[in-house]
Amino acid sequence: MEGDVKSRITKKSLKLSKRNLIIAVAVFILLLIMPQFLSAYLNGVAVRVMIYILLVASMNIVNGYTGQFTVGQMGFANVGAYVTAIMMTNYEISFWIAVVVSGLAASLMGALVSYPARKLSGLYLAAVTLGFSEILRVIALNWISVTGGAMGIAGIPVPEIFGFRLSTPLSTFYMVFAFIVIMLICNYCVISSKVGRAWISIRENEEAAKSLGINTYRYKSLGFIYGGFWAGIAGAVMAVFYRFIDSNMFSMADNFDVLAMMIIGGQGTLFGPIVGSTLVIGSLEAFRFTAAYRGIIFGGVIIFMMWVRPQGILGKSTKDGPIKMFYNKLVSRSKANRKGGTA
Amino acid sequence: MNSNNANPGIMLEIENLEVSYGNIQAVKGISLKVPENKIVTLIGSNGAGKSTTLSAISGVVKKKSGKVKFLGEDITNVKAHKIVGRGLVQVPEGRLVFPRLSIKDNLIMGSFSQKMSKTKLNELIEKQFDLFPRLKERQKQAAGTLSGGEQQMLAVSRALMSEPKLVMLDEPSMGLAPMIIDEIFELLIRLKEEGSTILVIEQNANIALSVADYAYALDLGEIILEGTGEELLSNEDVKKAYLG
Repeated sequence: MEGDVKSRITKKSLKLSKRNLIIAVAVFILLLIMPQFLSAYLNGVAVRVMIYILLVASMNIVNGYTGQFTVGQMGFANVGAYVTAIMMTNYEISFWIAVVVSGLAASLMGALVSYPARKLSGLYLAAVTLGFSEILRVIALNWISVTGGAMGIAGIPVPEIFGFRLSTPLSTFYMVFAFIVIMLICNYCVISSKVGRAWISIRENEEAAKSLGINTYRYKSLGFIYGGFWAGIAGAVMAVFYRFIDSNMFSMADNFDVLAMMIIGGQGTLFGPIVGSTLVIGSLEAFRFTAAYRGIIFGGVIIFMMWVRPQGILGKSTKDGPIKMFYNKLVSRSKANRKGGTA
Repeated sequence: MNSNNANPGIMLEIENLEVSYGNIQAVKGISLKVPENKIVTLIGSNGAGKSTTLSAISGVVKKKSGKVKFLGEDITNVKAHKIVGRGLVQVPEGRLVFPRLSIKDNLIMGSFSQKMSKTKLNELIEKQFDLFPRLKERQKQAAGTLSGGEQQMLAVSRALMSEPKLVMLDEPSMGLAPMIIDEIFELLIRLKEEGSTILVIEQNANIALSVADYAYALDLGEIILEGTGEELLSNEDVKKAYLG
């Protein structure tokens, strides 16, 4: 419990120093220019990274800020994707309406799952959320008249804005980029609001939060509802980016991918999801040449990460990682030796 | 607000409270009163039903039967999260601070149930710092870095941030060194002098009885003795059972 443990309250950890602000603006401008110089393939990879950023950030709301262990974010994305796909293909509704409806539909699912989930915690909660996600996948697989069953939904139209068709990876890049910027601003506002403070207090100690008159059930539900919204948006983006969806895209394995990215990036941080998604998808792409071995490499990287930085890359920890501990040991030993020498 | 207060001066009144966990009856018909601006204590050994009584009052545990009146109003069926807003706050057992939040942020969370302006909030925080200068020195530190006694003081301060009319403490002495326990109970006396009403639950009967205006001894879910703190301190049965 000793040492210089930094406080992690919302505003302070969210507040940008001048230096960080300059870096953020520089990165922002760089990201705006970058896709112009990238191939369609690399822009496609970037869009995939950004879809995962939406999903990971959505899971991070529940896991990182509210402190509840959910694994089922893909279920919400599933609902969002099918809502957008059906609205656009069958009813020719504009993407910009469909994407909002998708988010709201996913929020509704969040509310539904939160009803049993708010009374659970830990692995039991993980099992319920994962089960819920699987139920939604199986429904999508078997409700053939609506979802097309195993055939999925193909030929999803391209979103249009002011008559301009967002059909290339380049234009999709800018669209998803805009979604992420909006989401980050929303997350910042929500987390520094009263709701965010309630979430963090539940994460830190649910019993104590209860004793202060915080309606923990209601705020935990709100976490699922708000987080679910952005997973639904991610699903809607998947539908128009791939222009085809089927239930396999929202499997259990995808849920664990999102979980891994969140943990690697750092839970309970605003930018952790960005780092985690970029690193994981980026390294999987970089090791594409190793073909079947890249899964092994990826697994090794995760194990190494958990060993060196169990709190994730951006996450703050209350204790030193093994390397720092090893370093401390060395330092104290050499100090002791020096003392012994002079005596 | 309390125009229909039938019993002026009585802040909290419990009538025939019964609580069961499944088939096991933990509290078997307890009645007690907490008068305004007094320290009332509930002593008893492990498993006597002390904490259950407290949890039932603050609405965390379901009551099987009985009535809880606070400021003359029936709060038997008021939900736990709404009770704090009414001015009845509990300091839970085991120094439950928010470990990774700063001390100041812990205090801010204490005011969650009340709507208050920023100046009011800062005033209240300053008031806590006057009470515990040590918290002021370390206001930016994470609460988890405090010692056990300091964490307990922070938990009390945090509860006071909701400007409660009645503070209920669950075993504030648990796991603390005797010197620090003294400090905590001295604090309770100070709070009383400043106008607070306190209900404290303790296994450490000696110290609890020495500060209490009125005391109840609980055993196996029933009140077996009651009287002023001094009366119970000098009672032979209490001496045998709790003071050793």
